[in-house]
Amino acid sequence: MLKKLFLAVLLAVVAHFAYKLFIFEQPVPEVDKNAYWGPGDPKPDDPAIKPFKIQVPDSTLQDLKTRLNLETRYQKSLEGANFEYGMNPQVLLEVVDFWKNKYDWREREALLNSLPQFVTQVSGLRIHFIHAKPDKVPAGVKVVPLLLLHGWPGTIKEFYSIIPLLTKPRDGFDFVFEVIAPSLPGYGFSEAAHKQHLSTPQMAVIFQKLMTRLGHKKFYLQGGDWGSLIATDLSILYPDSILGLHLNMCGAMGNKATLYLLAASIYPPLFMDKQIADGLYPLSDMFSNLILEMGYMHIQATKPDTIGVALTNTPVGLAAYILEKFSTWTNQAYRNRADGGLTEKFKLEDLLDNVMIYWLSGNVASSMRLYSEVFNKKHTGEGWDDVPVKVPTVCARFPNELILQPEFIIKLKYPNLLPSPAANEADYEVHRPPRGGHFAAFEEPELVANSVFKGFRTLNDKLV
Amino acid sequence: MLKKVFKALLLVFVTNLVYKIFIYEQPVPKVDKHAYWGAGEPKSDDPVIKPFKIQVPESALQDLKTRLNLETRYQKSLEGVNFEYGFNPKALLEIVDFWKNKYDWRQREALLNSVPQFTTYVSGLRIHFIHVKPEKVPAGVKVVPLLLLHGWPGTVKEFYPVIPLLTTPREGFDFVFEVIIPSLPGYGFSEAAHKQHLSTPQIAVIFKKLMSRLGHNKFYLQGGDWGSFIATDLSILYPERAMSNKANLYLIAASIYPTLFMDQEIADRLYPLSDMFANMMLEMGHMHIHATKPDTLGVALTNTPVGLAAYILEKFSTWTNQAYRNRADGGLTEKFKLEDLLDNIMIYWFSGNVASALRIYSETFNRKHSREGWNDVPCKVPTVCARFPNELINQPEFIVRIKYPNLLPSSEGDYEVHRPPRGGHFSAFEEPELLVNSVFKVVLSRSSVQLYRLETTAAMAYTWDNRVKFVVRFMYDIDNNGYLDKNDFECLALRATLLEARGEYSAQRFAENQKIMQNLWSEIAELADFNKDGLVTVDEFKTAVKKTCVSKTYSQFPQAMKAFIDSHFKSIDINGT
Repeated sequence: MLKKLFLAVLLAVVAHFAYKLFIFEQPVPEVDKNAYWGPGDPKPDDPAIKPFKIQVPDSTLQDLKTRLNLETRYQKSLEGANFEYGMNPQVLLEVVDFWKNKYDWREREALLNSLPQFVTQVSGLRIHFIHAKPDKVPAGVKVVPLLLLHGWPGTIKEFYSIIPLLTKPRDGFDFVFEVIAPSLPGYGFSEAAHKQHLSTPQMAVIFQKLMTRLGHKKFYLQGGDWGSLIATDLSILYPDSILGLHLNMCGAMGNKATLYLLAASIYPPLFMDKQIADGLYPLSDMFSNLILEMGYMHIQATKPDTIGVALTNTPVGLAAYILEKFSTWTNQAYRNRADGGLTEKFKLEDLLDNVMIYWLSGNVASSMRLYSEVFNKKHTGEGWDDVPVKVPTVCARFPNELILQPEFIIKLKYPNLLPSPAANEADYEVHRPPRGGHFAAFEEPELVANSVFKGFRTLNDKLV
Repeated sequence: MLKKVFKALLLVFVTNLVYKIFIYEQPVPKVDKHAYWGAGEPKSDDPVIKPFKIQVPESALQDLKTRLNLETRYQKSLEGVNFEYGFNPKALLEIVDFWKNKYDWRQREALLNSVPQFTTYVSGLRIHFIHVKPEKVPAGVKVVPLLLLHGWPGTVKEFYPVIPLLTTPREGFDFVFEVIIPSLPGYGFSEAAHKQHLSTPQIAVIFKKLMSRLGHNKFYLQGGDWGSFIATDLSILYPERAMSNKANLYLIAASIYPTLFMDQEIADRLYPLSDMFANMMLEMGHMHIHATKPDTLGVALTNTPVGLAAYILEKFSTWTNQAYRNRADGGLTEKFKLEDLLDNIMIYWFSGNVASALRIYSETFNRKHSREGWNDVPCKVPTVCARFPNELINQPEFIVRIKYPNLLPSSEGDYEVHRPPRGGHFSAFEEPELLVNSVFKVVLSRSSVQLYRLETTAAMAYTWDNRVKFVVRFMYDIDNNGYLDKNDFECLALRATLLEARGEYSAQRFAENQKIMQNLWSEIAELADFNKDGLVTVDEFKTAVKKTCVSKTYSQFPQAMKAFIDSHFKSIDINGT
């Protein structure tokens, strides 16, 4: 009798877990689409779209010059250490020297202003965006809108090389993109929220409104880092608006993904190729490396205003903090190089443009607050991680991304993931580009553009 | 068959687990006691101990002034936010204003230099330390060495308020401390390691060498934060040997019914575990980034005094009291003076030692160090742990004991030693009196780990003189005003009433006890209150005992003395004399 009772209870527990994991579908959480993020009481938005140029006042430049000309104070790194303890101060000194003596902001500013930029007010915040349309479009080629979303510690600067590639018609493609690349709220030249809880779904609402204001009811989406999470939430909230989703950072989180990851550890080659398996197993190495690289996330999720005010007051410190990521996230092997491999894939002036946008806008603290708005009980309790994205999705897994998941796990989150037939070389270009890390659009613009064009063409063909 | 194999395997597994957790004792890992942390090839240390004064060059002061006079750039906090997202910039602006306009470094420097400081080379590093000896030591009072160890984001500054208290002889104690307070390597005025892997056991080796050079082969140890880890490792390495920090496991077992195992205050802090861990996550971001990218953060904080202040002061707000997160001013001046807080920051700023201070986290939280299993080695030195109420996490005694098996147990009478009534993480700085009381009374204490050597303590505690003092101070001087008076006996009457009736109050019994106690007091006052001021000091009491009791047989004692001494001396007379 007792045995039967025990079995019944066990069965109920197993059935419950099985239901939760395999049958139950997390509903889309509610988001207040009328939320107001401006100061004080809600006011209606001014819908005007105004042209924008970056114009840094001389006084701000002078202030920066004064700060850069102060002695750069630092402690020597430990004997034999390169980037293992973080930014190497010797490298920083070289960066500062270049910054002070060779980097000409007015010239860089003109370059940044070479793309058309605008601002408009959405949900109480002034949103800044690049809006680039193709110049000459041959007959029979359709112009389709593409929303490009950056992350941290990036800015719109990451997209300057890829935008001309996306807006230029190419042979064999009957479409070309009109690109909208906004600064995330609280990043660069977009206003920071004045109120708490502006997380990724709330940003998705803002960008949907922005696209609507620009007259785009349906559009393509591309994102990496936070941009990928915002694009994901946007696809969940407005599936009918999304023609296709392209991500260069994608993965499934939650219990089911962990369970699969554990199950596959029995014999990984059965479930994924060597490149992906090497990054994931043994799991203990993967987790400890993750811990090694997630310190910034932990502090930004908990004390963004403390670290924010520090980085807002020292350009040298800000450069160290941001450039460390451009070293390690481009290739983790760069941790063991004396120069951090910074100029291996990037030009110093391009990296500094990105740092300058954080410095001049003074938006570091608010950029970090996004972590606190996502990693808190309110947001995580809503269960966004477990909501599947039904929009057709292309995932470009660049080899040096921090973590790559096998397709069958990514599919838990993105069930309509475009499958990559491993045998098909051409398709491999879409899903598994040969080079590149976390900042793919910045580092390998050609490869990202190829993946976007080909990936979306395949999606279109399938839909037709 | 398969079933049997399975059962056998399971048994082996469980046995192994039980063995590992409850029986196996982790041996003390090996530490290279000759490690050299200086630059380049090992060289022998210059053993000279040189006097040291903090003397900041005018140019460094000017550079700081220039940086403070730059506009403080900041973003407004979110509406309705105080310190929940970290340091509130409005509060920071006020601090910067004070720093620029009211804080006078040369004056503060003189204050910091008011205690004797020295430097000497140990293991290749120039180690800075404060060394204060008591000035006038009455006959019969022994001077004992005490090594005080700070942590992050502290400096030697934290200990300035306790120095005079520890080095002044106190009535009722036949010992007083000579204090040695080093800056940790890579902190303040101690040189930073030039080589990797200087973790807490290695720092312990350095301090043991320092104490030996000062001629102290036995000493007391006190520490909080990193100081507590270093003190623990020092105790493991140098006196005896070592078992198992299965703290988490016990913690989970206890969650079935927390209040069975621990008192409510600690239970409230620890359970539900999910809240405790969430709060730990909330407060451990600094640890995570220090442990992984100290040089990145370090170089940033080394270049902005304003940023450094925000980074350090946030901890002095939240770790003093977590409720201060919800205050607009972060409660910073609730327990501290701004100038004292800035002194601590100035030491980090002028020494430029921020990155190296952060590196201690990377050297401790890494595979090499954690695989050595230091957490699992029990610390067998007699230990006193003063758990201040606002410490981030307070564990119940039975868990603390897993790591410190010789933990002095707390009973209600010595609450002052183990569970001081006020104070948070920076107890020496915040509540110097309470900390010193705790140190003196059983010998050493603090936030998470405190250690003392029993052999000497025991000798000191059980002299005749001390026993009398102890009885007067701890058993009869209930209101703790330093002498016996009528009020103490009033209190004794109440205590007796409650004890007799197991907590129930009976007015009738109280009246009877009151009468007994008042008679006792009159007799004692008659015998011992020599100056007839209505108070019996410890000295008066001792004189009376000597005069009326010493060299007389027990039966010849005055009745009051018999009643007073009899029962109570027995209760503490450990060796039966």
